[in-house]
Amino acid sequence: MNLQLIIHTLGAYLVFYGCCFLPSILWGIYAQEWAMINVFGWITLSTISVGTLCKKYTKKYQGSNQFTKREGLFLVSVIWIASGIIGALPFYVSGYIPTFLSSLFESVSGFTTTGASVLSDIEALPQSLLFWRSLTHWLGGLGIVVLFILVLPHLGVGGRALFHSEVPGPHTEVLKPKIRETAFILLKIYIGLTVIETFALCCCGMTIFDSICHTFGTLATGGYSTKNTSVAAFDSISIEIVLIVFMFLAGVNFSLYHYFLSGQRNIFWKDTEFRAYFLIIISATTLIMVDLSLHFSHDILKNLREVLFQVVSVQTTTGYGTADYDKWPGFSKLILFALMFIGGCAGSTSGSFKVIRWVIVFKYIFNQIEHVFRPQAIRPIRLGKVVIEDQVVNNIIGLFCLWIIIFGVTSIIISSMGFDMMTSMSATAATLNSIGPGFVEVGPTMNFSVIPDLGKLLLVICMLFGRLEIYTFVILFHPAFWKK
Amino acid sequence: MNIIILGSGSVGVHLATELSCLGNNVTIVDTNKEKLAQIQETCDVQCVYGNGADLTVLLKAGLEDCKLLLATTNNDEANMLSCLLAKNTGVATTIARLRQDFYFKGHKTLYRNKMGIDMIVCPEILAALEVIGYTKELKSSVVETLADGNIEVKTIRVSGKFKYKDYVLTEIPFPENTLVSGVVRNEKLTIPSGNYKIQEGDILYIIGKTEVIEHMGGVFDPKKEGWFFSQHKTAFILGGGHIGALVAKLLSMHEIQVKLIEEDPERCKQVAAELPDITVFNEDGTNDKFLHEEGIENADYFISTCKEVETSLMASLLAKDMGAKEIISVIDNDRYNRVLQRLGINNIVNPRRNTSQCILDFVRNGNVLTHTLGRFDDAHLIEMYINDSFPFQGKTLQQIHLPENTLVCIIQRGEEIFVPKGSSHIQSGDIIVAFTIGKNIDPLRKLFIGE
Repeated sequence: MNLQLIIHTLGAYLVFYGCCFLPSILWGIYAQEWAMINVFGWITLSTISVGTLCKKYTKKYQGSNQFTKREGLFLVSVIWIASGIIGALPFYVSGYIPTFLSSLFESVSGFTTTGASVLSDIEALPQSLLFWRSLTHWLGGLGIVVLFILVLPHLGVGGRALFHSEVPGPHTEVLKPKIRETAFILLKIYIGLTVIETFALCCCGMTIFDSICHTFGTLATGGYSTKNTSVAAFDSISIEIVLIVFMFLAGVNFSLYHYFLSGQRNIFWKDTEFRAYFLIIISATTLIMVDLSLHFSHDILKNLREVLFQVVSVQTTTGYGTADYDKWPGFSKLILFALMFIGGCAGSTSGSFKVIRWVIVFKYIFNQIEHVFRPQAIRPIRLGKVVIEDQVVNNIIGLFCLWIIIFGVTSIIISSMGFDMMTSMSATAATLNSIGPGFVEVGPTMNFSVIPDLGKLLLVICMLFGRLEIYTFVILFHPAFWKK
Repeated sequence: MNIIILGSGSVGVHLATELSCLGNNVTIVDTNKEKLAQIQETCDVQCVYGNGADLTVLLKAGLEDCKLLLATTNNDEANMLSCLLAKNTGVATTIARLRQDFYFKGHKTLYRNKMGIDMIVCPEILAALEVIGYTKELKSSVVETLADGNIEVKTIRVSGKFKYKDYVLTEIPFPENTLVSGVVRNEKLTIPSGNYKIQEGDILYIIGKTEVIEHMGGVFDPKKEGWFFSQHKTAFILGGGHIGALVAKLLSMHEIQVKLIEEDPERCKQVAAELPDITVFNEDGTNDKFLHEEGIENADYFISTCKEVETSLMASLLAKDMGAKEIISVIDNDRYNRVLQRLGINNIVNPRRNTSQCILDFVRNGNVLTHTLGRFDDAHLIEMYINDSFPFQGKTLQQIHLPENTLVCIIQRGEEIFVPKGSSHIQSGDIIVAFTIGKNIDPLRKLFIGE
């Protein structure tokens, strides 16, 4: 592995990363929070200078940006870890979160668009720090590496390796021959949606600050709010509708928007994954509605409002809350728990296992059952008209097993720290699938500060696993990866 | 007539013999010396050794005063190139045999105009279409493609659920520039007038531009009707080669449940990937236990398209014995003809004979192509290229006295395809498609081509 080249690119990344603090500083000036500007200023300066130093001392590698597959994967993992650590500094240095591990948890939870918090009183934080907290969502949503590829034109072929490592999905569609142009199209769609949502939220009566922060939280399917009681604090039906719509949109494959805008108006219904995604939301909402109306509350309209918001929020892995679903009956809770493992569409900003993989897993199972009594039949797995290669299917089955194993092992370790079953399982599921809140002790009205430090570290790793879809990150733990 | 045939494969030799017997001077060009020597012993043809795409070889074979060039080598691109060369040196008619199916996806006009190929034939497609011809009672099908694939005839079966049941034809909103040219009621084919009232059980033959016909959809798409609990017919296809895959595709388009059996696992994967609606099995087609397990007893059709004639034959016999209702065998060989009847295999498709027949028809009839409509032997679709000798220049269609039971369905003028009205003119350069029942082909030819 060419470490020098990796350090060089990492240096370039740090310079780019330092610049990401600027919006928070600007907001600090606007909100006149001088102490925070001081903190952000020093962090920015040191990040940029470390980056410049790294770049300077490895300058001779500037021309050769040919990453091997291994280097690309490694670099993506390193970039995500570095982002988490540096992103934790503002929380730690300013003293609003006392321990570094808690700050790291908050920061990684932001970048991986999880939205699980350790803060009990969010409203006590200064605006610039809250802004940074939400900005981490926005940066991590589309993929921080995707943004990085855009600002670094000379990455060339290396960019392609990085792109595919960060956006691993079962069939990453490359919209344009050049990876930079593809990234640019995705960014344009992302920014477009951001502007529209911010405007819509403003119209619904949010302050500009709240609308920007909530937009970042929705489009990245993150879930950091600026209020202690999340979206429930606004208690406005129009705001909730806007959020439902945009959470839903953020869970759709972004390349579909590109095709839609370039003239294929019926692309959404033609897409198997989109149809499945839509149907899952509708059926989950119906099931929970029936359960709640029978066993919980008879106010159907109020139920519909809360259930739809909660289902979309959990399915798209956002994690905003308008209701304390921890009080709902067991059936409803279990459905929400199951939704956590489904997630949005591939190529969206949502986390979790993704609808398309579930579709393929089910088709695979179906084929295997037929195979038992009819071994001669040959049935390729297809999505729409496209045949999925055996290689890809095997990859997905492997990922599925890894997902279950990691979920199981982490849950067991967390429960050994003295938590009940539902808490430990939901805490793991909520972080691994980048949802945010879980049930019981980490429920929608609680937070993750109850988890001890070791548990937090474990959950931080889970979040990275979930965001990078395990393979990219898990290779660091494979002995063969480090052999020359 | 001087004729050059490129390629001494089975189709080439068969054609050479036939054409030579009809009194033509035939020259065969091939790169296989032994084969040429063999041919010279059995047929009265001239043989030239060399590559058919080489102009000097072609000239040596007498390209200058040649009237017809048949390119039947195994190489599609070489065939096309030879035709292009021949056309540019003044050969009147060129015919190419092409195998790749992407050459047949509606670009035939382009080939005709730019590549100088007057007719493209594909033995596999011809064979597949004939197999389909043997399978009866298709729900909806593309019966015939005309005018180099630009015009299509499709059938619609009026079922009980059809929205426009009991409507008069003119009231049904068919897509623009399509025409119901024939209606089958009680096994009898008639040409309907505008106020014909359709009933349940009728079969409509619709003619129109290929794109329009293919995308009629909606209420005209029988696939959407009653798929649930409907009784599907089943067909077994042995062999996933070119013919097998084509037949499978056509049958599955007709709502027939297809089970395709192929021995080569790689080929299985390819076919399964291409055709989503069928079941592909990787198994030996003569494995009786397997056939029994898959329910050959209830199969409506058993179609064997194996490359090895003997396997095809044995499998057909086996399937017949096990209870398959209808056996269709694709047998590319004349050797067993005398025993086939006695063995009870009646539906035989011979791709080579089909190809030769098709080419001979073209040679004989030139600008008039006739297609038999489905299983009605006396119903013909006639495709004619109008040239300057057309006797009724400037007259409207009403003023031309057509024979009885004859309808001019559709006219292709350049890129435009339209259904003519009584006041429409016919110009030279048009391709017209007429539909006729009865023995009207020769009068029609005289009327429009004016010999």
